[in-house]
Amino acid sequence: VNVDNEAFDRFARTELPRLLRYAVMLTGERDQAQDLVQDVLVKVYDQWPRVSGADRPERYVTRMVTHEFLSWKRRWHVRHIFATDNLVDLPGSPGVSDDADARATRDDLWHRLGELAPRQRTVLVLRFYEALPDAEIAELLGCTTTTVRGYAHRALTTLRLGFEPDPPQLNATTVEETR
Amino acid sequence: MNADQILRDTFVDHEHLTPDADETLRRVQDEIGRRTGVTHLGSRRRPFVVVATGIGVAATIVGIVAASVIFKSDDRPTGPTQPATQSTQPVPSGTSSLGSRTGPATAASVEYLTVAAGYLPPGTVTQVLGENGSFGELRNYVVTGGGTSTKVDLTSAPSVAALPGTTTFTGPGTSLKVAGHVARQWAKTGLSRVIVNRSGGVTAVDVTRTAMPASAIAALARTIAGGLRYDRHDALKPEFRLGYVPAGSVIAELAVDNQRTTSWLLGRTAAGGSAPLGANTNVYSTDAPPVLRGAAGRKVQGHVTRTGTKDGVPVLEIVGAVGRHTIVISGGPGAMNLSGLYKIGDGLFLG
Repeated sequence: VNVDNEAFDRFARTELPRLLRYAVMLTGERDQAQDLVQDVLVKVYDQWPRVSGADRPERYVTRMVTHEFLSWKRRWHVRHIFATDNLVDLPGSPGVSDDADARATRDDLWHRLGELAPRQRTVLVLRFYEALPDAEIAELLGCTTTTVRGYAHRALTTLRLGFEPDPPQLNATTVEETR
Repeated sequence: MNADQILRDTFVDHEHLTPDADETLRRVQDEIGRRTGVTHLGSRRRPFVVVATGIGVAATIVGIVAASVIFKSDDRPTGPTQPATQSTQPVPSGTSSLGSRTGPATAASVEYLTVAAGYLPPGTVTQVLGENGSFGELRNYVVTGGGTSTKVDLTSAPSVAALPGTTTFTGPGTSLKVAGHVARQWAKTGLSRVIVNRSGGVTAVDVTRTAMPASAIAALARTIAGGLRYDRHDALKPEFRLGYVPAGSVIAELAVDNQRTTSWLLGRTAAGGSAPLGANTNVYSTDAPPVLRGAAGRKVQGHVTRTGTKDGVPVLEIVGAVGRHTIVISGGPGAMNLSGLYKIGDGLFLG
């Protein structure tokens, strides 16, 4: 593969901060985020003509990071979801008025985001952190907008940030999920 | 405050976890350089790995070229004077990681690693074992404890010249002896390297801990270097093995996770070369349901298959190929077509 090293280097330097922040939101963890982005950028190097020739190279690489994350999770991890009955009822809950409590609330939510299925978390990151419309999220994930809304709905419900009680499949004490 | 805003604030509130971009770029450049034979930086990536709770792995390089075995273990030493705990899994004599049942001869046979840390600082340890045909063994530890993280990378090679280069340190360093071996050390805030010369080769010990004073990290690196063990014989048992590797490719990586799933990465080689330029085909087992919506393919070794494309590359899934696990063969950019994937599937040694 013929690679314009200078162009790749410029692209990497420009995009790295954004990609690393995005990877942190996906993985929830610094080292995994770094490994994820590193793996993807090496692949970007291998595919540089294709990436640099894309209409929106930065979006192309975001897609690569997303799919690499989902692939990692599917291949390497088995996690346990512990559904609990004492989740904080965030909206309107008392005690979030001062900054310390708000921070504690956000930390708690961050922890619970880590317990979501990877695709659910990914949808929340893309919708609320990257501020992408559902149509773009669907295109990025290779699914329909209906599916995206389904992921978001289930995620918000699980987090008790939305609408209904826990879905039945999460009422068990422990649910083992392969991701 | 509504739920949307809480989520946005939660994400933004954790941006401080973002890794350093310069360090990441350095690792990317190093990885690219290492794979293309132009090593120019000292810090390698943590190879993409496998969580393998309760399993120890090691390997000796039995020969050759460019296979790498990667493994991550959570069963770490917890005391400051305890050696890393690794179970030994002997490999039946005569077995080989690779074969050539239906295709051209393959690259390397990786069964053991010999060098390991005998001392690591207290904390929870994850471990990666690997082998690289360009220089030899590598073993990477990450020790997390006390709110900090320490990286310990061991790289063993036949000679100093064969070690990956580094521009992190300049100058001759400091001569010393560790555990009776002639050694040389460099250190600066957050990073120290010790190269131990021993009979039969050298081992570089790179210790990284953010903001740790040079004198302290130098002392830590010397302690780790002094505790190195050169007698490990830990084996990795992949769930399945490859019997066919296409001409022009070699095995770039092998990984086994705690669920006993296995991943092999193939990489193309330059004309006449033996080192992989980059992984372009992944053959892995998974206990996840098949993900393709593609067409049913022809049977492979008696197992139902599905075929299709994912992310623009051909994919062949062999359903239930090993126990309940499906084997996925995924071509990479510029890689082989579906018939090539079938050849790999036909050549697999299952179970």
